[in-house]
Amino acid sequence: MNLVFKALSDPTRRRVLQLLQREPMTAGELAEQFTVSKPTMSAHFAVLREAGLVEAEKVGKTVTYRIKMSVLEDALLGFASAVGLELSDQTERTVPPSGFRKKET
Amino acid sequence: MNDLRFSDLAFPIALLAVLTGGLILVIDPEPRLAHQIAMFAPLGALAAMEAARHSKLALCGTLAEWRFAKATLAGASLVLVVGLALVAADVGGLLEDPERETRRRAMGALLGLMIMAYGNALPKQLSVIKQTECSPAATQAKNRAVGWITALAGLAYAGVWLTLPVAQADRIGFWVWPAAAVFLSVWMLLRRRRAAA
Repeated sequence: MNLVFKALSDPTRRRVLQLLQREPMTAGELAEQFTVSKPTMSAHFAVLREAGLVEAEKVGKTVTYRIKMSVLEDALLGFASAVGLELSDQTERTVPPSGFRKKET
Repeated sequence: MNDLRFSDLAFPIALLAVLTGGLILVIDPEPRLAHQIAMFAPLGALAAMEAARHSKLALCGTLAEWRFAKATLAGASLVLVVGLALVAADVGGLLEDPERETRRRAMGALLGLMIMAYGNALPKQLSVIKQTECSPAATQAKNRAVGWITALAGLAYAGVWLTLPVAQADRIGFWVWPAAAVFLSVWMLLRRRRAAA
């Protein structure tokens, strides 16, 4: 369940899930909806796949993503989207403690 | 076992209905057949409709999640075992339940919770069906609606049996399944009409 919460904590991933709720989409179609880079999108897809919220099907060079959520996960997505839950990885935004100095090279 | 077809889902659902219906008949010495039929008919009809549609179209591939069917069977067995345990406790004098209220309440709540769990897992399990030939968006939306309505109906049924007096729970619980079936049918009809427009 931790993986599900982690996946739902990011607004981009939530938006991806909301788009996939309408219909299955290819990785390219999904990437077009966002301004982030393709490697970042790939990382988001990987998190969603790891949490078991989406399923990827590769046909030739095209990867099609399809939603794979239980009712509870669906409800959690709705709740997280409604309250704007954002628990992004601390490592991404960690601010060095005061007094911390980078080594000068 | 990995090649379990979608239509085979009808089997665990039907077995669940038969087991639970049979159990209620065992527990209740004055069974009302119409009540039992009305209770399980919508679920059975839904399964039969799905199975028939998919068999007829002969598409949508296989369902790899044999575990899902096994879990359904395990749930049905749990209902049976708990029911029999309650009967045994009553016969053995461990349970003072002359009006059979505790038994009926426990079985109602258990059945509701089991159907809720089944409905919860349904959209996730059905998503593994290959949707290359049917309309993926429509199938996905329908699976989602079926899951939501089944889960909410199960929750409502369990809630009714856990909170209301038995006589009222009996009356109101009776209408949960037909109401869910009607709601789902109307939703599907409206969606089809909207898609056609």
